[in-house]
Amino acid sequence: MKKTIPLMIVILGGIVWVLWVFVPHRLLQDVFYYDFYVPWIRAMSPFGMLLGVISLCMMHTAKIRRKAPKWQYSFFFFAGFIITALAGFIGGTQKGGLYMWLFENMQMPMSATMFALLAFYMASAAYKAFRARSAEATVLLVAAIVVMLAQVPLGVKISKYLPDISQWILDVPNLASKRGILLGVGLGSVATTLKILLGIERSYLGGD
Amino acid sequence: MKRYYLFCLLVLISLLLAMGGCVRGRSANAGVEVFEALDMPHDDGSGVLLRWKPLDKSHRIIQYNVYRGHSPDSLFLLGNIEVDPKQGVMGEYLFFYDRDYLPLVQFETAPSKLKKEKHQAPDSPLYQAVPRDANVVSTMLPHYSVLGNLTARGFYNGSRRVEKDGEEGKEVFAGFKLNQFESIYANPLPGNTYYYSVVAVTETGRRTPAARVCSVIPVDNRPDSSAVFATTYIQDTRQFKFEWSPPTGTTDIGLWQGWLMPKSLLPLYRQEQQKNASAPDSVFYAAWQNGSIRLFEHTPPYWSQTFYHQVDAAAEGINLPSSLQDYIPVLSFMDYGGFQAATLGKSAQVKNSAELPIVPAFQVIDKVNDKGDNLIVSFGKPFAFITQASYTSSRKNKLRVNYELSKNEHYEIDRLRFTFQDTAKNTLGTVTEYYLDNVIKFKLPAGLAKNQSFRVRVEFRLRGEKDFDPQVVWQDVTYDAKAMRFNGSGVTLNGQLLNKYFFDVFAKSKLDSDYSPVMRIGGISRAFDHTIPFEDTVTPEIVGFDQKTGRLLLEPNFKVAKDPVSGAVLWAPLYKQDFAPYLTNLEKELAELKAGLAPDDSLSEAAQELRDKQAELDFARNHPAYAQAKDAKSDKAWRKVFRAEKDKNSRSYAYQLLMTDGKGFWNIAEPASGDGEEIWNYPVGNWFDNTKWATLIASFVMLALVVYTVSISRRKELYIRPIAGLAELDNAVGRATEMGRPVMFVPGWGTLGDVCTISAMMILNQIAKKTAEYDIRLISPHVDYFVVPLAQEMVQTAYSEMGRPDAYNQNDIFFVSDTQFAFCAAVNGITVRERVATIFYMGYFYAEALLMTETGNQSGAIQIAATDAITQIPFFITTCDYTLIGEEFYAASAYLSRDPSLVSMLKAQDYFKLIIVVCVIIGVVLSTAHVNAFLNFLPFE
Repeated sequence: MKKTIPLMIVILGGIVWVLWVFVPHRLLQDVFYYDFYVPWIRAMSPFGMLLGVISLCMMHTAKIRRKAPKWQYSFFFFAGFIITALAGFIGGTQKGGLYMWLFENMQMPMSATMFALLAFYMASAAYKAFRARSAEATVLLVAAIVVMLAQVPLGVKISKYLPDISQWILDVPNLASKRGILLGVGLGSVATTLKILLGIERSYLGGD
Repeated sequence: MKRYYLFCLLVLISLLLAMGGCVRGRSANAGVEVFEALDMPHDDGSGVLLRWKPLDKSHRIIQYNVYRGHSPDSLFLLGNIEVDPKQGVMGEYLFFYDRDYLPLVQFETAPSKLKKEKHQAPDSPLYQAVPRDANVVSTMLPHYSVLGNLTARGFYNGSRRVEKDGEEGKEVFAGFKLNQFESIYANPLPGNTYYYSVVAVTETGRRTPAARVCSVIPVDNRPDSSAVFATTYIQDTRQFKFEWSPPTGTTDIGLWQGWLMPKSLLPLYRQEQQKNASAPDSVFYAAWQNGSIRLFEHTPPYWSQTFYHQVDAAAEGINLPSSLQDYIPVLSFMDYGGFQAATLGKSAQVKNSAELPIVPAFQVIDKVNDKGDNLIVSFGKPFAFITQASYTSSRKNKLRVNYELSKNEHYEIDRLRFTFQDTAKNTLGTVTEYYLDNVIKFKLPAGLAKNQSFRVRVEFRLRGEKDFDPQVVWQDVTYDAKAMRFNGSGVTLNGQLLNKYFFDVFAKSKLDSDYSPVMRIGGISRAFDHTIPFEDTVTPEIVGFDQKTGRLLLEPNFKVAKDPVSGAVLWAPLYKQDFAPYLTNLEKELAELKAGLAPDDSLSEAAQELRDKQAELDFARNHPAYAQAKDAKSDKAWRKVFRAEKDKNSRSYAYQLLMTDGKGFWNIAEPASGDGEEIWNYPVGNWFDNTKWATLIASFVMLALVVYTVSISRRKELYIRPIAGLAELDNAVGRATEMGRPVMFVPGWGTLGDVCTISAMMILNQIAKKTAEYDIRLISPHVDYFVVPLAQEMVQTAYSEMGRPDAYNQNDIFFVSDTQFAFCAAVNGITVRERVATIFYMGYFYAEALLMTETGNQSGAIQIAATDAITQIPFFITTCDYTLIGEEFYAASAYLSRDPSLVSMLKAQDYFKLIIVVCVIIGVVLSTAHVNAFLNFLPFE
C-alpha cells in the first residue's frame, strides 16, 4: 500500500498529462491546466523554496559547527542571505531600494564575471579538443577551423568557397548528427515516461 | 562559537547601515513645481489630462507617482510613469491620461488599510494606493464610474441577494465582498470635481514633496475634426459609397451626416471651421450646410475605427448636380452631448459598378483542433505568390525563388505550377512544385539578359482535384539593384490587383443589434481567425454598497437572448425568485399603458412603448430557456440554464465580408445561404487533435514493442552493448574510495517535470548504492528546490538498502541556488574545497557546464557526464573522462540495474529506431515520386 497509492497517483497524473497533449478541449486546456494545475504550482512553490532554504541553512550550519574545511565561507552565505532577505522584506524589491541595489551592483557583476570566464575556459577546452592526436581529432580540427574562419571577413579573403563549405558542414554532417542525437533523446524520453506510466520503473518511489 | 555569531551580527548590521547610506544618494527636497490638471479635449467628459515639468536628471528620478481624489483632503495613488534616472526626461513636459478606467484597487499591491504616503508633510492629503477596504471604496462610488472585474464563476455563483429600499420600493442587488473581485477600475464622471497631485520618486525610493494639488472638472467637449472621409460615386447605379475613420480621441459620436458641398462654399467652410475652433463647444457655425446637399444621416449602433455607408441617390430622391467635380464631400458629426464638428472629405472618385471589387465567396468554419474558441472565416481559394528571388550562381543563370502561400481552412493546395515569362510574354520555363516548402529553383534559359525583370503565372491544384484551378495569379518580379535581388510586386488574381485592397470582416452575435467591423486585413489574405473567448470574467458596474453586509452591489441581471425580429431582450435575474415579480411588473405596466392609450393610436411614443413592452413580455414568457428554467429547484440550477443559453447566443456569430480600397470604393457580401437567412456559427471544442494521429499511433506502436520485449526478456537475457561511461562507474567510485575523497553528483537544470531529471534521479539512486557500499561520502548540490527532497529520499533509501543508513547525511544533498552562475560558483567551490575525486554531471546543462567540468578537470577529478543538451555535449566530451550522449543517458538506469523489465525498454527503443529508419526510407522514396501524403501525415513542430 505504501508504494501502490503513490504509484497510482503517478500513473493517473501521467495519463492526465498524456490526455492534455492529445485533447485540445477546454476541459483539459483551461479547466485542468489554468484552474487546477497552475494555482497548485503557485501554492507549492513557496513551500518548495522554504525546503530549499532550510536545506542550505542546515548544510552551512553543520559546516560551521563541524568546523569543516573553509567553514568560514559559510558566514558569507548567512551574511548574503540575511542582508538580501532583510533588504527585500523591509525595503521592498522595487527599483531604487537596497534589494535592487544589491542585485544590480553585486549579483549582476558577479554573474557577469563568471560568464566572462567562460571565454577562457572555452579557449582551454578548444585547445584540448583540437589537438590532432587521432584521425577523428584531425577531422574535428579541420572542420572547426573552416567554420570559425568562415565567420570572419578574413575567411572570405582566403577563399570565397569557405562560407559555402562552412555552411555545408553545419547543414549536413553537423545537422545529421544533431538530429540523430535528438531522435535518441526523444525516444529515451518516451521510453522513460512509459517506464514510469507502466510502473516498470519505480526507483523514484524509493528503492526498487 | 557565540563570539563568532555576535561578531558576524555586528558586521552584518554595519554592512546594512553602510549600504543604506551608500544608496541613499542626494537629498530629495525639490518636488515638481509646474503641474496642471486639464480637461481632456474633444472627449465625452470622462478624461483628464495631467502634465508637469519633470525634474532634471541630477535628481535621479526613477518614477513619477500620480495621485487622484474627489476631495482635496485625500488623494490616493493612481498610477505612475517610470523614467530613466540617468537620462532623465527629454521632453519639456510629462503627460498622464486619466481615462479608460484605470485600476482603483490593485489587490496585489494595495495596502490593507489607509496609509499616508511616505516622506510627505504631516498635513499632506496624499495616501498610498486605495486600500483593500470596502468602506473606503464605498465612499468613492458616488464620485466615479466604477467597474468590478470578477471571474464568471464568482459572479454567477458567489453573490448574496441584497434588498435595499429604493425610490420605487424594494430593489434587489447582487452583493459581493471586496475580495471576490479580481480588480476594480474607476473613471472620472463628467461634471464632477477631481483633485490631482504628482510626486517624484528618486532612485533611492525617496518621495519628493508633492506638487501643488490641482483641481479639474472634466466635461463633454466638441469632437475633434480630424475624421478621414472618403467617397466614391458609382455613376451607372447612382450610388454613393462612403468610408470614414472617426476623429481621434472620440468614441461618443451618435450621428454622422454626409454632405456634398459646392466648392464655391469652401472659403465659407474654412472661415467657419476657424470660428468653431475658438467658439464655445455648444456653438457650431455651419452656414455652409445651407447651400450643400445632404446625402445621408447615419446612426450606427456600434463604434468602430472605420464606418461604411451607402446611399442610393435615385431611391432616396436626391437631386444630384450635373457635375460632381464642382462639389466636395463633407462629413459632419454630433456626439451624444449635442456638440458638433465637421471634416472635409477627399474629392469623390467616380467609378462604374463593373469595376467594384469582386468579393470572394466566403465560408465560416469551426476551427478544428481547438478548445472551442475560434471560428475561421475562409475567403475564396488559396493561392501562392512570389516574395523575392535571387541568383544562386555567379553566372546569373539560376534563381532561387521564395514564395508564400495564402492559405485558408477550406481548401488545401496539392501542388503549384510556376510559369516564367519575359517582358515580351515569351515563356522562359515552368516549375511544378509538389512539396510546398516555400522555395523553388529555376534555371534561366541561355541568352537572357542579366537582372532582367520577368512575369510569373502561378497556378494551383487543390487537393482532391485532377486539374489546375482556372484561377491564376499573375505577378511581376522586378530586379532591385540596391538589394541585388528580385522582388515580387502586385499580386493579380482574376484581373484584380489584390495588394491595393483590404478585407473588413463584419460580425454579429445573436445578442448584437447589427454587424460591426471586427478586423481589417490585407487583400492577399484568404482567411481570418476570429477568436471568440469563453466568458471567463465579467466586468459589470458597481452600483452601490450595502453597509449592513459590507458588500459591493451589482445589478443582478444578465442578458440572455435577443429577439431578432422585435429587438426585445431577455434579462435573467441571478435569483429565481425575482423573475416572477419582473413578469408581473411588466404586465402591470402594459395594463397601465393600454388604459392610457386611445384605441386608434398606433404612432405615438406611448403606443411604441406598449409594443416594446408587449414584445419583451412575450419574448420572456415564451422563451424555451425560461420554460426549462422555471422548473429549477435552486438558484444555481436556474442560472445554469440561462448561462448555457447566454453562452449559445453570445458566442454564435454571423459574418459579412467587405472588400475596400480604403478610399470608399467597397463592396460587401454575405455568406451564401439557401433561404436568405443569416447563418449562425457556434465554435465547438474538439476532443482530439487531428494533427496528432501519427504521434498517437507511434505511441501505441512503442507500447506494443515494450510489451513484446518485456515478454522476451522473461525468457532470455537481452544483450546491451557496453557503455564505457557506465562500465567505469564502479572504478570511478572505487578510485574515490582509495583516495578517501568524496563523490559529487551534479544534476542539471531540469525541474521535477522534466524527464531528464527523473532519469538523473534514477542514476543517483544507483550511484548512492555504490557509495554506500564503498562507504564513501556522496555530495549532491541542487539547483531546483523541488528536486532536493526527492534526491534526499532516493539517496536515503539507497543507503538503507545497502545496510548503511547510518552513513547517510541529509546535509550532503542540498539546495544551492536557482541562479545559473551562483550555482556554478558553488559547484566549483565544492570541487576545489572538498577535493572531490569523482564527479557525475547528469541532466540538462547550459553555459555553466564548461565552467564546472573544466574546474573538475583541473582539480584532477574523474568526471562522467550524461546529458541530452546537444549544445553542451562537445564541452563534456572535451573536458570529461566519459560522456553519455543523449539516449545513453536514459539507458543508464537500465544498464546499471540490469533489471530485465528495464532492459527490455532499451530493446523496444532499438526496434522503434528500426521502424523510424524504415519510415525515413519510405518517405524519401515517396517524396522523390512526388507523393507527399505520407509526409503530410506526420506532424510538424
